[in-house]
Amino acid sequence: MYSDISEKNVLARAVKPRAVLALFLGALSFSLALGAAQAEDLSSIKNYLLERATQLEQETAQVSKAADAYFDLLETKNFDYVAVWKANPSQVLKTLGAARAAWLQASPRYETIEGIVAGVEMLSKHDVLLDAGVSGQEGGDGVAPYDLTLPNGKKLEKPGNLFGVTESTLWVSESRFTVQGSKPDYNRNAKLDYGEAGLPDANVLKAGAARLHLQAQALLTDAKKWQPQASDVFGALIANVPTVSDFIEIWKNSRFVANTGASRDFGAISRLRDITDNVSSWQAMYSGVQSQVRAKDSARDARIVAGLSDLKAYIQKRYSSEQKGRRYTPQEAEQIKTEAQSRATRIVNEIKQAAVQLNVQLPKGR
Amino acid sequence: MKKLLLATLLFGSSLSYAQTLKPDLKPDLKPQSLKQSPTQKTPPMNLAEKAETLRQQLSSAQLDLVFDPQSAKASFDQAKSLAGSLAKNSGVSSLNSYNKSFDKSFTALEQALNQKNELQFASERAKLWTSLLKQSNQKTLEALSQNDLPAFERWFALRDYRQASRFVRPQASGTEALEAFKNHEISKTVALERVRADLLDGYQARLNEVLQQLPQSQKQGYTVQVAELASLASGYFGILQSTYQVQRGPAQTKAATLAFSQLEGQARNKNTDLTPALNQVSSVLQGFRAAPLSSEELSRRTGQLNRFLKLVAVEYTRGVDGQHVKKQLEVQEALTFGNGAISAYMDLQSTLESQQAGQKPQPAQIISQNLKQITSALEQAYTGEAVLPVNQLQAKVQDLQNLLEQTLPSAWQQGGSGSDLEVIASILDQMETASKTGNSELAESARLEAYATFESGSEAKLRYFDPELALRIEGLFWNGIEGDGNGLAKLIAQNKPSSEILAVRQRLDSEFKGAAKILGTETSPTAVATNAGVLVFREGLEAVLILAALMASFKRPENRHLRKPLWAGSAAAFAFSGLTWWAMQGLLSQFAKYGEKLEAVVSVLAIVVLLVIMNWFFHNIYWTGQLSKFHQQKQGISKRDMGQVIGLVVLGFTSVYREGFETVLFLQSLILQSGNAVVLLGTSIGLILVGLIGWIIFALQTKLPHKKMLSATGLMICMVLFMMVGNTTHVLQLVGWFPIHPVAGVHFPYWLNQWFGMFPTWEGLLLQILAPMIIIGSYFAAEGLKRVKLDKRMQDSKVNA
Repeated sequence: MYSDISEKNVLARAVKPRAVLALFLGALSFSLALGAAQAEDLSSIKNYLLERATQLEQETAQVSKAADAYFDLLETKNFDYVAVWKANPSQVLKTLGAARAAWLQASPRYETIEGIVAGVEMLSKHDVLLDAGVSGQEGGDGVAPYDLTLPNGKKLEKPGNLFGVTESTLWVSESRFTVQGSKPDYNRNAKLDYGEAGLPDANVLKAGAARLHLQAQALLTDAKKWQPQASDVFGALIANVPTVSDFIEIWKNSRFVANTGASRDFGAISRLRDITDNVSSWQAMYSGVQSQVRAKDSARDARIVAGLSDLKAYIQKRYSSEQKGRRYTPQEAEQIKTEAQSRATRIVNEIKQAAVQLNVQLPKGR
Repeated sequence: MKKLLLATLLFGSSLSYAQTLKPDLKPDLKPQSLKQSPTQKTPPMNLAEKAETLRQQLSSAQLDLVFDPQSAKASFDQAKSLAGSLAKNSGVSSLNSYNKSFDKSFTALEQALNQKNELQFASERAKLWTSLLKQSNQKTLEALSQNDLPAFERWFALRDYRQASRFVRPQASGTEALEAFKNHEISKTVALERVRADLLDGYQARLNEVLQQLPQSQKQGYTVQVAELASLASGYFGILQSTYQVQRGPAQTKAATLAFSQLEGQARNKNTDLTPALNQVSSVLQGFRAAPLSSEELSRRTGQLNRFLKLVAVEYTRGVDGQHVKKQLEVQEALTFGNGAISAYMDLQSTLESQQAGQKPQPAQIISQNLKQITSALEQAYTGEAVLPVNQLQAKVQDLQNLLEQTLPSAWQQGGSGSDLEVIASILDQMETASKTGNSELAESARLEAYATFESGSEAKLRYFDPELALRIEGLFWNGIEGDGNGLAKLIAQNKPSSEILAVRQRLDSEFKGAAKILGTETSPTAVATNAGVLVFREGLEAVLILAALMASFKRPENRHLRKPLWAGSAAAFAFSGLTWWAMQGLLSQFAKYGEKLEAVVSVLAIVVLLVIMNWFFHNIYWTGQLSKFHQQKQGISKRDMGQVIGLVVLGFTSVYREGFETVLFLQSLILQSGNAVVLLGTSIGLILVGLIGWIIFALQTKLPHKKMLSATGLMICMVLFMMVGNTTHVLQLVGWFPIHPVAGVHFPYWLNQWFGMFPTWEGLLLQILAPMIIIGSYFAAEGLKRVKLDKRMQDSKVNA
């Protein structure tokens, strides 16, 4: 009996420290694995951003290259637009078509990362310059802080964001950037469609496209330096998701809804499409913190995932109808705005509650 | 396919639903696709998800009602199925009771769908959704009160939030409360209160948003939206109704419900002007605040009300000459401050009214009327209808200020140096808004007003405590730091973009935060708790030693019974000390409105208490004198037969209560600095230590090094005195009762202020050095005196010998 107890004690003494050590090592490796998994999740956001920022840089280079070709074409005839158009319409259409095609690749590409760029403090300056900043004429808080110097030496003071400048030049929706007199029929349907009211000012196009490319390069450089943190991700989502109503407000005022007095920008691509691309960037961002949220509150995670997905599907459905020819009335557009904002409010609040549950220190004011 | 859709909708996640329903719209998630739960490929939708999907489907049906009826019907059918699932399969039986209500709503919706009646559909949809929210609201609170956290979390997610925007960030006070409750940081009652406040605040915000949007929608001719908003307003009010009834009574609630139903009914008629109905709704909601404000918020709003009123008089005096407006802008500002005062008062009114229930006429209503009269006079002056002479307006404002002082609870009227800075912040908000709208004249005026408030209040003090910070703030108000041009005056004059003005404002905010720390009387909570603990331990130790000394002579079995009355007296003294604490709290709350001045007076009193304690300690008079006095008393009582027990009870009581009284008196000063919770924490720790020492002495009969312990605690008290003297001098200087002479070129880090009460003024530092010197000096003086007495006694004995 005594010896049994004694053996047990000896065994216990031998086992206990080992068990404690094993438990400690187990806990340590679990923590390390968890930390590594979280870091991996966050690095996936960076990979997503870098992949698209690289594509954006290449696509804007194409816009710039085509704009240069158009400029060169006009320079040969001393910028006599009518003469160039008469002499070589197919070459004009080819260069402008290439510029438009590259722009139509670049702009949605940017929208798929805008949520990250606009929401992360160290990158947000690029968003103002590339896509969000307004012109000095419009004024207010969000003026894009740059002046555009043209090849002919003229300076455009605070002309607005670079995608806007290049879009309104390529699709001739801004009279200041348009040369009247020629009406290129891009789709050869013998009708005067949107974007066929004149020729782009080659000086503005060349300078705008070059600056756009430069800015895309700068964004890529900064994106490489960015080290994503969970607080960045939550902060960016909380700042960005509620901007859905701003997007729809722009859409309401664009040619897709407004009958008269439509805004100069966002006529080439419906802003509805931009929203879905933005939601993609929010989904990518959320995927970086999803495992943490799910571990803490799986029901909340399910609601966030469904919320983002449903919002995207809802807007996509509206976009799809629009593509098929439906024109929403201002009242319907208002209803879409209210509904989308309602969904965004729910999503952003769920994200905020998740941040609180995870004790994430959010950037000031978020 | 339809069956598959339905099954997916009811049992699958909404992600898979979205993908099944719209394969062509499959989200582009590669490679960062959102993950499904690893345990289940298609986890069942949770309650809130189902409800939200139902809402979304009805919204889609409404949008497609006329343009695409087939699609609208499909969405409607899916919503109907979900409603059934919610009622039957949600696992919450109580929802079954709403089956009928659901059926009724869906019948009405179906009718609207068939008739393509968008107005009716929108209205019914809003009613259905808000009725679901109302049920969820009740269930959430019930679940928390029953400690059923899983049910709480399920229901709490089915709610509406304050609409988020670029400017309105989401709130999470309910979730914060829940997390704190789970971590045992707050009680269930507190958690329940916060969750309730979070929900009520959210719904009231939604109600206000909807009511604000209604006139705009009607103006734009959005009739469908008008019908929807009116029903939403009515529904949100339904959620707040029980709170409304508690605050306003059944008669007013009936009137309010009628006002909302009239609005709802009229909104269904395309051609009715809703202005009268909206005015009626606005009138019944006047002063109603569903979520109660915290005591800090009540105090903050009171501070705003008082200061805005003061500024009304100042601006009006500047803008009006006799009965003529000489500066329209100043009158406009007076009006802005008047509206600000009304807004602040509206937040206080309902709480005030509930405290004055039964009083007729209610002072709360008189205040409201007076405020309206003042703003009406300001409006008339602004529009040029009539100009009230300056002296009459000043008299009205003065009367109202007097009434506010008499009526508002003292606790609300507490306001520190921080209040000035809050007013500055709110005036700078106006500047920011004005600059955004391009009104540079108004922006400049607001800037000047903010600077004037700073200059006349905080700046003078700040210049002494941190002259460099004062200069930086001044620079940011004018031409920038060291004239770099980034100053508000310069930027506004140059019509710079509001983003640049905002950037300077943000820098100002940051500098003001630093100023608030310096001008505040905030002390580190840890330091305060430590001080409370040290003092309680020290005084408790004295009480224990006195008791031990008294009990020592009752060791013999024939005397042991005499210990009981001593214990009883001590216990009574302990309880009486608690009562004294409570009484002191009541007394001080009467003077709470004096804020820092009260703190200054009580702090001086606390220093006196400390000096007395220190004096007793170092002179040793306490021990020789007091103990011999107690022993003499005890001998007297023990000899008597009659009243022996009562006498010993009194002895036990007096020996403990004098320590208790001193402690309570001293601790009041700390409570004024950091509140009850921090001081009670320190007190509890001190009491536990005293209890431990007491147990060692009495139960184990162990002899402890009493003298060394008293010396050690005495030195600790010396540190408390050092800090108290520093902080008290700072408070006296802040309230203007003490001169300020800054030590040139010296800047103390924040932790020195917080932990040691050290501020770079000659007065503070010299007094901090002087106080311990008085103690040490008096010790040597007393020792000298003792020596002289001893010498004299020795000489006398020699003479006698």
